[in-house]
Amino acid sequence: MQFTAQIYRTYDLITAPKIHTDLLWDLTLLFLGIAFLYFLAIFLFKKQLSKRSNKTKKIKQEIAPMISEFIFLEEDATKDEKSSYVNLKVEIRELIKSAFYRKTVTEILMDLRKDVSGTARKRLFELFKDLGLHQESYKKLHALRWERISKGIIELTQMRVKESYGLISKFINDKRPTIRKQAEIAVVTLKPEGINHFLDTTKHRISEWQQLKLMEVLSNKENFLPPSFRVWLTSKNKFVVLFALRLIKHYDQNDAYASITELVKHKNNRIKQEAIDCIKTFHITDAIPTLKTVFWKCSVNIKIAILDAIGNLGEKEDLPFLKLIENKESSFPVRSKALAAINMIVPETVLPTEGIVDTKNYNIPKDIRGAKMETMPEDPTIDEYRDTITPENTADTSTDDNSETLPEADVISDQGEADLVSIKNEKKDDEIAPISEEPGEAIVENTQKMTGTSLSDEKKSIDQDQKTESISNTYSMKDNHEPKDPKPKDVTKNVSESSAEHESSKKDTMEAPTEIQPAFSIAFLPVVIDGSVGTDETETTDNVETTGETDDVVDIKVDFELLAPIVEDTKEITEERKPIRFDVTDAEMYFIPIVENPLPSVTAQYSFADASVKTQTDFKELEVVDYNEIIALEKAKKPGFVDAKELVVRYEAISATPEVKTGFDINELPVVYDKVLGNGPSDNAQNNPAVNTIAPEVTEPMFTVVFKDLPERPVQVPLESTDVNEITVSYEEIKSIALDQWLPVSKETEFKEEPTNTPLDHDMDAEIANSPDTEEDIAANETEETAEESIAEQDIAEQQLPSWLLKEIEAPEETTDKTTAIKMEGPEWEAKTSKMIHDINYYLQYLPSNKKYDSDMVDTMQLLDDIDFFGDERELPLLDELMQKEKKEAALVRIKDIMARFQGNAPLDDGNATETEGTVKNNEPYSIFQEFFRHCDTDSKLILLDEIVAVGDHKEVYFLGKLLSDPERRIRRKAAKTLKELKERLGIDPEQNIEKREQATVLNAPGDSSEGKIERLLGQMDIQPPKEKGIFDIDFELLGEEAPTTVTGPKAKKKSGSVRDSIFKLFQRTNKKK
Amino acid sequence: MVSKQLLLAEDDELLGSLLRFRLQKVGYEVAHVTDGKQVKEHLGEDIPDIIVSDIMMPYFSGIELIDYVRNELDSKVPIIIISSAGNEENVLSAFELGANDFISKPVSPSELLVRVARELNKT
Repeated sequence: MQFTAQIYRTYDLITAPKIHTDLLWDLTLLFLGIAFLYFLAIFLFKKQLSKRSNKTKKIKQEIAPMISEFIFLEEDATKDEKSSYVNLKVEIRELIKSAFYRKTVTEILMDLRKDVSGTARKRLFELFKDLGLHQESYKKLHALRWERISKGIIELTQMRVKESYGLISKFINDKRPTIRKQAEIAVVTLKPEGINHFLDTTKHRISEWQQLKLMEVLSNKENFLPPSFRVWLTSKNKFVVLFALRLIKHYDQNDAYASITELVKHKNNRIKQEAIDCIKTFHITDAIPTLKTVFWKCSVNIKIAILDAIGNLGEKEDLPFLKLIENKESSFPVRSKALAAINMIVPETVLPTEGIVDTKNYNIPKDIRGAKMETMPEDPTIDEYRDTITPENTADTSTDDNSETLPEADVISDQGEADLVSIKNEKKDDEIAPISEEPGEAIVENTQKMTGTSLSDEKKSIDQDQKTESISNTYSMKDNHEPKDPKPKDVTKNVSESSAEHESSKKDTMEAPTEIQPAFSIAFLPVVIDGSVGTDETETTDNVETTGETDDVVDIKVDFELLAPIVEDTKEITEERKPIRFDVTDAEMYFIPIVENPLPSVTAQYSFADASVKTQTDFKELEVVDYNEIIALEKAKKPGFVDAKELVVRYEAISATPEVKTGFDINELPVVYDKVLGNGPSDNAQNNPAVNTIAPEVTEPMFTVVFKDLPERPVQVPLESTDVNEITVSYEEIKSIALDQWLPVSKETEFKEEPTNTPLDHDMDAEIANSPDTEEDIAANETEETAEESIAEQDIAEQQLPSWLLKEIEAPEETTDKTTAIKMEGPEWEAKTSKMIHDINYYLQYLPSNKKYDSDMVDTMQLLDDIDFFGDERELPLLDELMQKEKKEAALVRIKDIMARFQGNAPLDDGNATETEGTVKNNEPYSIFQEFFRHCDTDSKLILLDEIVAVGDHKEVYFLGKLLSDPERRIRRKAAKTLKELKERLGIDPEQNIEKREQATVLNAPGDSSEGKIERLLGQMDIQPPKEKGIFDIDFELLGEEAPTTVTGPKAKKKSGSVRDSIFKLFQRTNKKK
Repeated sequence: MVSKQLLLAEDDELLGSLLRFRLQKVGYEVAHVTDGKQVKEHLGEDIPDIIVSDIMMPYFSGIELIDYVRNELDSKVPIIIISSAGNEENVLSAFELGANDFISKPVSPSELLVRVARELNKT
């Protein structure tokens, strides 16, 4: 009530405000005005946007065809197309002087980059740089606003401006995240080593999204060779470590097992999780103990991941650990995962318990139950295990154990060991499968026992495994996994342990140690033969001595069989005496060391009973190598034994098949010339075997070597024989063209020094290097050498020649054969020959030398030609770069020549240069505009003159100088103006202006009146003065003044004047200077 | 040799212009349209030798274009579809409706030339 009263009292105080109506109208008008302004602003803004959009669209329509022209200009384009290309380039360069155009062109190129691929895309990148748009992006990098910097980075990245790598990489650790992320992507995109630099230098967080983007960039990189990312596992930036782990997994780099295992202990959960994933991916079984150790201190998600990994990688030894988790862990998902892991290791170990009806209390008639039990005996161990894993049990144990501190790994092992000890005591000997006999079966048997048994039974089997399956575990493989432990286990130790265990278990039943069934074939044991046929037992003393256990086995009674003597048919005996073999697969026997016999296998058949039998015709006699055995037999000298000296060892014929090279490159063979047609005898080669095998390097252009029926190189010639000297090579004659009559004797003398039967294994390069130079020899024949010189040369040649060649040279009979066969003697012949040689040399010096360019060189020269034709001084950086890269002298000379010309230091071409379609004269710089001026009208020329100001260089200065004498007046005027502007742009000293100097000379000629000077100047400028002076007063832009391009209005009037006035002013100025 | 008529339906004017230039350069007579309405108008006047169409277009998609050409016009003119990468469903639909070939963006103009030539050779 009190509250209500207060309210009413308060309301009483409120009264309607009294506002003047005029004020209300004023306010209404004010708000209407504001609304109007608001809508007007919106309208204007929208209109402006629309206008800009339309303008952009228009510009795009205008520029798109130009860009298409640029992109699709082919190298083999016609001259018109190239001219059009240059025109467009000039045009677009003019356009992009405007910032708006520049921005629009950049947008167009960026848009097209998304839509096109292949060569067109590459051309786009080139065009971006060629138009200098990347300079604009560089400027953006220096902006203050982050969005501009980011945009600049994006442009440079997307247009693949690799030169910007250094600039952008500075932004990797920028404090602004957007710039940083753009820089990271740019650095990785632009260069292959960018990822290394990024991972090395980044100090900041790498977000998940950023990691995905970077991986996408890496995946899309062409020919990317990923570095070894394990290097960055030691980084102090945990995000780098995480990213490195992901990259390791992505690129399957399984070379960092230890580091990955160590990272499981990392305090960061994400790194831990990633490391566990890597362990699972790479099947790092060595990491299981570490996983078990860190398990208890991890979060639920990590525990689940660990259990998943153990389930994938674990073995039966890990089951106690999993059982322990199932009992002790309080988290339900972890317990469930532990059970799942148990089932993953040994399937069907844990059976479903939820909703299963207990069938023990079912009332089944006794007769039916009996029959059922007989047909389907249920394994009691299953029930036993089910009891142990009922939810009630697990809940109880877990609640009990929760109060305890988290156990460590050693606790687990202790407990497991205690269980194992108890199981060991209970285990009976007959349950242990004899692993030494049939290990494979033992595994199967044990595995079957594991299925459906309780965990204690599993531990028993684990214990059993430790004793008996240590071998089998090493070579038993899971269905879909690789071998768990790549490291080889100590097999011998396991074997000895298993055999010892086996021995102890059967100790009571064994009478003698010799009755142990061997695990291996005993075929290698010597066979003891009784001389008499029957079943008599004989003491084996000396024979057993060979085993080295004489003291223990002297008294052993050995049963033996009678072996029938080998007489004729060895096959029967071979079949009877097959070695004892066990049915084991290769996989089971893999632990036995593999012994490879280096020699071809030889099967020897021993005949003990009838040693006097001689060998078969296809057998050979061998000496007995095993002397110990022979000595033992000799010492025995007892009846029933055979004297080893009389033994005849038989073996099968050995068919040796050594590895023979089945093919070789025909390039390795020396070139063989059979006939040399010329002045020598045509059958020279046939008569002289030495000529058949020589391999001279033909350097003279006189010969044309024609090979017939030779396939294209390289040729693989199959060899049936090991002796490659027997190979015959197809060849054809060497024909000389036109000069066959001139063939000098000295050429044949080369052949004399060549060896016969050239071995193929010598170094052909060395041979070629040592082969005599034909021209030198010719010259040597011309000038008579002294005996000492020839001896000295011979010594040098001998030092350089291989030994086999020297032998051949030293062979006297062959040398004489060669000389007698091909030598032509007589003073007439010598005189004729020397004259001919002289003539040949005379003609040869005028022949141009061959320029053999490879494909790269051809491309380079082509490029240089293009640059020479189309380029100007802006290509100087490119030429400079080319010069640094290029190593070939011809290209370097060409580059220097072009550079010199572009710099204005050299004429267009050397003295031998021909005129290019009549446009280029010697020592005159060539301007591309000359071509255009030849074919276009006056208006076009005027437009082009404007362009010259923008793009011209020194070449254009010369050209403009020529245009000053153009018959067309407008052209002359425009040229003069253009020349001035161009010189200003190029920074040419006005004092060097030829025209000015000439004008000054003209004006200051002694003894000339003013009128005369003017007339002469006008004549010089090719200006025809009108007859009527009034007509002569025309508007024109003064040459020496800095007038804008188009001057209109009152200012124009001020600056305009008659030619006469201007010349007078010029004249006065020149006089003042003087 | 009579030049082949080609209808290029591409809403992106820049790309359309680029492709038209390339195709014209090798001798095709190219008509470039930027939306579905223009496509219909053009097809009402004359049926070209081959159609190259983007899938995503205003008013009239590439899929509808194929349906229109195959069912309403009852024409067997070869149709090459340009689609964005990862647009498999549309591509499959296009093939089901009777498209002859497809090329994914980003487009390689040289590849497009080869495909166009191949389709024309088939006919």
